[in-house]
This record gives sequence, C-alpha cells and structure tokens, in this order.
Amino acid sequence: MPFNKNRYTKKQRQQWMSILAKSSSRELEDAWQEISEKPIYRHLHKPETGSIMVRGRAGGSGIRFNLGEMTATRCTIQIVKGHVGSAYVMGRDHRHAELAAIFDALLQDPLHHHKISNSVVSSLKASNDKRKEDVSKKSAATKVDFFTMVRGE
Amino acid sequence: MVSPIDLNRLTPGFPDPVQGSRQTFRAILDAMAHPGRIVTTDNVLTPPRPLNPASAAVSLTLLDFETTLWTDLKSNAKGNGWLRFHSGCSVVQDPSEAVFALITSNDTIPALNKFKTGDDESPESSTTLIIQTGRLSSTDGIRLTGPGIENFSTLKVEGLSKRFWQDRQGQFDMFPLGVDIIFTCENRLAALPRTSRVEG
Repeated sequence: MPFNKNRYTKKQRQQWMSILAKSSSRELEDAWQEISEKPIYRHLHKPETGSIMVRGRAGGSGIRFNLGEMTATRCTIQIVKGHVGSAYVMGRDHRHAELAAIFDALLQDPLHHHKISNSVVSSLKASNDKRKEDVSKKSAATKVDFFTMVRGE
Repeated sequence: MVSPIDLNRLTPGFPDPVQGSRQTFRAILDAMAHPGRIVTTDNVLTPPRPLNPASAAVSLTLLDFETTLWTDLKSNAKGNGWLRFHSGCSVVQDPSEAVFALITSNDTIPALNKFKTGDDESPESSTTLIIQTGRLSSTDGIRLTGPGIENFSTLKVEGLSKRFWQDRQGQFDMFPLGVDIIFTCENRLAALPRTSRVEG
C-alpha cells in the first residue's frame, strides 16, 4: 500500500515525523517500553549516519544558499505484515532513528494510530514545546536592545 | 517519468551493507581480472523478480546516488523501485547518459553503441553493462583471449543474439574505448571486459 492510499495526509505524517525526530532518544525509548505488544519489524535501511547539506533562503524568500552540513541519521523499517516507517534525525543516535521509524510505521496503521497519537505523540509534542520555550526564555533574558541616546544639547 | 517507490512492497538490501558490498566488489574484481571465470557471489538477497541475486548484489555494490542507471525494467516495476531505494541511483531514459546499465531480458539489449563508449581522453567514462542470463557456463561456448587469460577461456551465455556479438566485435575494434560487460545468472557472475577478444 503506498502512503497516499492511506487515511492520513502527507501533512499529518510530516507533523508526527517532525515531532518524533525532535524528541529525545530517551523519551522515545520510554514510550517504546510502555507498549505492551511490541510489533515485529525488520530493517529496510539499517540506521546509518551521514551528512546532509542544509540549505536556507535569506529572509525566507531569497536565493537558496548552502548553510552548512549537518550530521544526520536515517533509518527505514518495515513492520511484519504492516507499514513501512522512515526517520531522519539530527545527530548520530542510531536508536533514536530506529525508534522514530517504528513509531512512524505504527502511526500509519489505523489500528494503532489513535492510541499512539494520544499516548505518545501528544506528550512528546508537549515536551518538545516546553524545551523550545525554555530555550527561548533563556535566550530572551540575554536580549540586548540597542537604542541611540540623544547626545549633546 | 519517475514513479514513486512503493515502500510497502520492498524487500531488504544487504543485511550488512559494508560487508555485503565489500564481498561483492571482491567477486567483481576477481571476475574482471579473469575474463570468462565464473565467480559466485555469496549473498542472501531476495530482490524482486526479474532481478537475480547476483545482479542485485552487483547493483547495490556499484551504484550510489552519484551514478546513473539505464534499465529495461519499467519505471513502475518493483525491481526498479528496489534499486532506487537501496542504492539511491537515478534512472535515466537515454542509454548514452548511463554509467551503468542493467538488462534483465536478452530481447531488450539495445545496440551497444547506444551506450557511452568513453572518449580518447577518458576511455574509462564508458557504460558498464550488467546483463542477466538464464544460463552461464564455462564448459564450452565462446573463446576468450587477452589480458588476464593464460591461454584461452570459454564462456557460454544463453540467449544472446548474433547481433549482440557483432556489436561486441565493433566495440572491441574501438579499443581502448568500449563498454565493459558483467553477465549474471542466479548468484553467479562472469565478466567480459573491453580487453577480451571474442572468438566464435
């Protein structure tokens, strides 16, 4: 079954894949340990680490330029008699990529989607958001406002 | 032109990509160095039909995201998607743009001069052909002489047309230009590099 025949849209999948990739490996491992009936899976691509070129656009709309290389790990797994899941995560944590791929496969399966989405993805999203907020608070405290004083009289 | 890969029907590649491709590379090296010698590739690949395990192993070893492949497999064929997924290669429509060619049926071999034959400055930039065959044996068949062969070696490749061998002679006359060929059958392979002279 190709993905587009499934009931979940590309956008939905992008969202959960992004959340899984940005979570920490430990959180994913905890969530995995809580699954009572673990699916049997095999690797289509074992986790492998490489570098990818991150590209950006100045101001979000300028000409595309190469920002720099980033280390990333990818993995593709197939649940036996089930879906294929893929993951691309930052860094070189193989287990992270593997778990993210497994969850991606489970989330594409209507039998598991609801449960995983409610129990795993939502809490991962909450902790991702919190992490993001903490970082932005921390950096906000170091913000410097520049203004020009009126000099002379 | 390029069909999406149907991930849910894919079978795995090498269980250990590093070891798998190293062992296969060694086998290809051995075959290329001794034209006509039949070498067994030790692999446990289960590629989608009509790909045979030897072609699959050779493809996964030699192809990567920088190489171009021409193949007679249709763009929506399982084998086509399998190769693109596992090797990351790009499939081209024009044989003259391909660094490698994978031919699964003897009936669909294009004229050999349609492929890249290299040029005088860089004869190595020619196409390497991987041709699948139903039977491969070294007991009789064509006689090969040239570098890597002590006296002569024999190789029988099933199902190749007279035109193919005429084309091959045409290629040989262009030496040092010309294509290199790897024949595969089940999990075995034999090479016919451009240096080998073919005698009926």
